[in-house]
Amino acid sequence: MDLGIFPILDNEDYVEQKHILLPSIIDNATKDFSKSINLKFNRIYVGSEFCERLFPSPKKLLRILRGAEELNLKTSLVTPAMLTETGAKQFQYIFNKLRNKNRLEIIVNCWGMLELLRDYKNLEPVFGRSLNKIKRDPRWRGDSSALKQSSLSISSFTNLLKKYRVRKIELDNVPQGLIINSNGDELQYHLYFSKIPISFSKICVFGSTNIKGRKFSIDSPCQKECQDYSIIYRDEAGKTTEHIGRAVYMENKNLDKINLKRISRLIFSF
Amino acid sequence: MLSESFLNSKIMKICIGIQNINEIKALVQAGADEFFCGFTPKEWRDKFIPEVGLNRRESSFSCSKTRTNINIGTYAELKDVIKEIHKYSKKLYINFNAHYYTASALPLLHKILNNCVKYKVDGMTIADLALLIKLKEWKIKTKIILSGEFGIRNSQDLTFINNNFEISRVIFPRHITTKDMTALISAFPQYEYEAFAMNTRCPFDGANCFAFHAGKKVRIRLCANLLNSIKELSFKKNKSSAFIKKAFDNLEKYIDRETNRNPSVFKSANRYLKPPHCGLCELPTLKKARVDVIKICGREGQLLEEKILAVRLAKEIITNNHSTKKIQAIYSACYANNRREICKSKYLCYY
Repeated sequence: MDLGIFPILDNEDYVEQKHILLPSIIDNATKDFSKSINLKFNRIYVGSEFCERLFPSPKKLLRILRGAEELNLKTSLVTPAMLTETGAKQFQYIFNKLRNKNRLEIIVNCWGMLELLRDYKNLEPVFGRSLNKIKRDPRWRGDSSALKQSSLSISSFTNLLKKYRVRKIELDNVPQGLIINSNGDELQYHLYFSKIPISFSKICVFGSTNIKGRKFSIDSPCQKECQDYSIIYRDEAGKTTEHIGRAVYMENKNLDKINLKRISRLIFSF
Repeated sequence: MLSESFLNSKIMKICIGIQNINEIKALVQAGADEFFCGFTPKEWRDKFIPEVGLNRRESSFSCSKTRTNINIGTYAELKDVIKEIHKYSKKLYINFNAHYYTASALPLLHKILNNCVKYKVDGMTIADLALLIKLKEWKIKTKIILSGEFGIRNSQDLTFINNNFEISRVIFPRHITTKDMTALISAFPQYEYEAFAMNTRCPFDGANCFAFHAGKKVRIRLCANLLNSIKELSFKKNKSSAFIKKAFDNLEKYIDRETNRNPSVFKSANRYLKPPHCGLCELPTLKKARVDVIKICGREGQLLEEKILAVRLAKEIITNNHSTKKIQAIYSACYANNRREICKSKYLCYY
């Protein structure tokens, strides 16, 4: 099975400091698996799923792509949910710069991105995990089959995705488990573990409080405080969730409730 | 092309959430033009509640097999509500804006939607792309309103909708700037637009909040749960003590704001009417941008008295050309004994 890594922050560092960082990450990602799963690390995810400001500039991006190539790694570009009008225009600019690149995966987390990618045949849209609205809640205990599925169980929905050239679907290792439907299927499924998003916001927990004047405003200017610190919430049982800038993540390393035979790629998100 | 003077002359409508028939007359008298509600009949509650809601109006007391509170719970009540609203020549839209419905839920959902059309509901608010597709396949003829929980934010999002679906109205999400709203409205003038104006400004983005609002096992909303839990800061690199202090100060500010607990700001508040989240200052901008309808939400099950005041306030701002200062004065007079601390703190601002 393919293994990708998705450093939720500092993507660039992980490629540029490859010799120091990558081996330890792979060890960390694979230590929880039995030896029966043969994982082949071959891909890095770059970008951000919750904030367009964390997407690398075109210059940096090209450097990362080169760095990954040197390491014989493929690259998937993660594009954010909640994309602003300005952000959408910036992505158009970035994609124009990538027109001459070989086939590249774009992880799509807002509907408009599917529309935008129609004009770029070398860029392959992948259905991002934020577009799959399945419940993700660290507090949930129980077993309900209704919660193990989402719109992906409806064939008309996957047919529309196929119309937009989507052949790969990304899922989260949600605590309640997943039922993966076949829907005819020429679809491939990827699974993220262990950090799973619970909620995104346009009001950054630190960016919005760190400025004078337009305090708490939507899309307030920031100094990328999320790169420096985060909030850890601890419940009565000691279970933690992490608030990083505009996003809250939970952790689930347990893959027992997933039929891994349906999964073609694991993505270690950390 | 509509002329600027025509657009300026258009009166913004007020749409407010209701939970039962008893609220309608008073809200019409206060100035409400449209209503929305949740509807969760017994057949759905028996099969899917508490796990799967028909809409996002799932506050802790609405989500059980026996109690529906902020959702209308029977067809008989729904018929009466529609009849009452139509008596005043107003409209009722029903929220079917759950983030998703699974394939196994579709037959029952289809039946419920057909019944709503039969009872002459004026439209449905939808957040799930799969349900938009199904409405088309099922040939359900009703006005389709795209929920704020769908998350339209840029013109590519709207191009995607425009290329695939026939909708009438877009409700902007809570977390969007007035600048982006203006750009979208001018790019797609064929739609009606609705923007949030009062109550329930969530800390997280509606389309991208995947946690339960309520349920048997999770009593309260996740955001409230998190803010009430033990919090610590995790630093990724070594930082100076001044940096760390500032980070803690910021965290305190955030928690104060999201829990509305800062005593210095709220000590002047009206004891009986809790100051609501508010975007009234931006109504002149929204009006200029050609937003057609403003939304006063009622997910938390506000008292009728609170709703009436919110509608009156919104009507006052819409029909008069008040300055920001004057709008803040009106708000403070209603909720804060004429003191401006609340507006100044921006703790409750939508935009």
